[in-house]
Amino acid sequence: MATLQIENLWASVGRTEILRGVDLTVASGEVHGVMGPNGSGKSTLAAVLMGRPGFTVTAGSITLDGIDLTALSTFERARAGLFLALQHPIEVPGVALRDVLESAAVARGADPALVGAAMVTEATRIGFGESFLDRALNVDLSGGEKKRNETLQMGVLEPKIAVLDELDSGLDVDALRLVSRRVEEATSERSLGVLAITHFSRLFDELKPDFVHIFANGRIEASGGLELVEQVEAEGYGGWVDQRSETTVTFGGLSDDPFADPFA
Amino acid sequence: MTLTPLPFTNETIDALPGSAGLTERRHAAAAALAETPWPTTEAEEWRYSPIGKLDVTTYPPVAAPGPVRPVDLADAVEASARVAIVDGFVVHTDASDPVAIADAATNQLGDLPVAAFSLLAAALAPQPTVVSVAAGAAVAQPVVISNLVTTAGSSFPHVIVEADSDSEVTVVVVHQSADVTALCVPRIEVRAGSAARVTLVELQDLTRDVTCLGRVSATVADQGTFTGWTAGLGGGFARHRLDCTLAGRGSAIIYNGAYFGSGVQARDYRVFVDHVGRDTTSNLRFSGAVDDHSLAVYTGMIRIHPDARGSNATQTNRNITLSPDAWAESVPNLEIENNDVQCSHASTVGPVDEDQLFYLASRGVPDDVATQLIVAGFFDDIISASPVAPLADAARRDIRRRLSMGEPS
Repeated sequence: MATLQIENLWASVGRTEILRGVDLTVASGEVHGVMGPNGSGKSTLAAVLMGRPGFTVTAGSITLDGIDLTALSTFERARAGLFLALQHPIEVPGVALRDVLESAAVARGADPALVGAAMVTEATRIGFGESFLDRALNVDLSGGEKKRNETLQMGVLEPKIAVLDELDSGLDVDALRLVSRRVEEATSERSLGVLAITHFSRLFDELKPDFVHIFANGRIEASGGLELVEQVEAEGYGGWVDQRSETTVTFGGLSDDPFADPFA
Repeated sequence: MTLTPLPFTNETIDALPGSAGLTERRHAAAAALAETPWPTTEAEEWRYSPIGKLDVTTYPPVAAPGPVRPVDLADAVEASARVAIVDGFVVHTDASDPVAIADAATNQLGDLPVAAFSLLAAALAPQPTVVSVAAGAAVAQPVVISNLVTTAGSSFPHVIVEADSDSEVTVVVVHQSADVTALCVPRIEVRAGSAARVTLVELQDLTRDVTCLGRVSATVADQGTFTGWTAGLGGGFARHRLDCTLAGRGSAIIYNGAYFGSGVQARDYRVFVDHVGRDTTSNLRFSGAVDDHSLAVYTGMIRIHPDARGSNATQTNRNITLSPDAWAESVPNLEIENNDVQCSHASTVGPVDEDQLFYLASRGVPDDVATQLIVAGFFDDIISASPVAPLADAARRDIRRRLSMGEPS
């Protein structure tokens, strides 16, 4: 059993505070759905969990089975069992997916000779053509193909906890179903813990979360079950967004907004 | 402007082989050189280069070829014809129809050059050699030329490739050396006739104490194509100058270059393409990496002449800096004197892409391995463009070796 525990996590980009006290625990076999409006900091949460450069943790902790992830490099977090499916997977010209996954296997003490067969198996499970396996990483792939590629890598790498950042964007209905089924199978077959981030509820039509969290104002504002998805569908996020917490930039302390109407 | 003393005398020239006409031309070149200052970094085409550190007088011309030894990389390429050059001397040729190899006649050498090192080469090249391909012939396997430096001093190989109309030939040149302190000034001239297709594939793998000031000059007639590929790996200060004149209508140059600097290597690329004819095309791509204390300079000048309407020119130079002490300079230029043309250029200099590193790390690849993969991948499109597999493989091996082992500066 593995547990990803996020406690009172604060993080910033440059001087802008984005995460403001995130509390969340994801255990093996659980699917947590995180929904929130654009700009609420969902993708920042994913980036901070994986240790992406440019994001600074200012307070709080992230642990995986008690290990402090904030003290680890991105590679070390991955080796510890964390996986991030990126919202926008990066193109790496001239680098074959197979070389990457074999290198990752070597680094975590697995047998790289098994990677090739695992790639083919995973590709088949999500209806991803084998011809894509020989392409340079994400180069000339459509948005949907990139998301399948991320899912394939999740399958081969066998992480303990997977963070899926907008895995649904770019996928058509059929692909979304295949990818969601693959993630669910991983939760039952290997007890994968999942943190699935999205701003559309349609992902949760396919990937049924055990827990739903509403993310707004840089933190989790509400937690519950699928009834929260229905509430978002009916009412939107408006009720959760704290207007005062909208990011404002101050100029020299004179005024919050130098372009404000002085007669207002 | 001070005139540096020359590393040779009139007697040096008189001792070289060749016809009376060739000797006369050498003396004329020497006389012109005596009036020509050695270049300095004040000249734009030598800017950023370590030319100031080069003292030509410390490299007396090699008077006779050293012992022949196998050049594995050249021998690995299946060949239609072969030329073995040692210390500037042609020591072996092997050719049959439709390829002919012969000493250059004086009238095949053209006008005297202007630049100092070209004059030096014209004065001292012991055996300018012409590789000619008959009209309409498609040469099945490459013409393979090995340029081997075995002796301390300076050497001046000179090869002219004359591809007659509608012929097709690939010429492979491998530059290698023994562990000597030497200056090599190779001259390769390509004359592509009407609708001729000439491919020049070069791999420079000289040892670190060899300074190489290479020059490739090409003229391309109507509908002809000159395709070039070069990998610059060895040498200390290694300069590669390319001059191409797209003289005929519809002529083209496609040129891919890869280079890697380690230790204190200096890589210096100067590319000049003249679009003279109508509807001419140039496509230049150079990619390089610099590590340790090495430096790389790329300057490209694409000139579209007034009559060259319908021309199409693209030029790309990308550089990865792998060490804070390494340095790369990229200066792509365009000079356009006709409005009906399409031109683009792009250049980049920077460290390994942070997003790519993060992406591979997030898959569980350690940072050093990720860097190796990304840099090897960065070169992939250029290296893969080599039409001669053994040279592409050698370049890949060299790059991977440098990335995985590192090298002391």
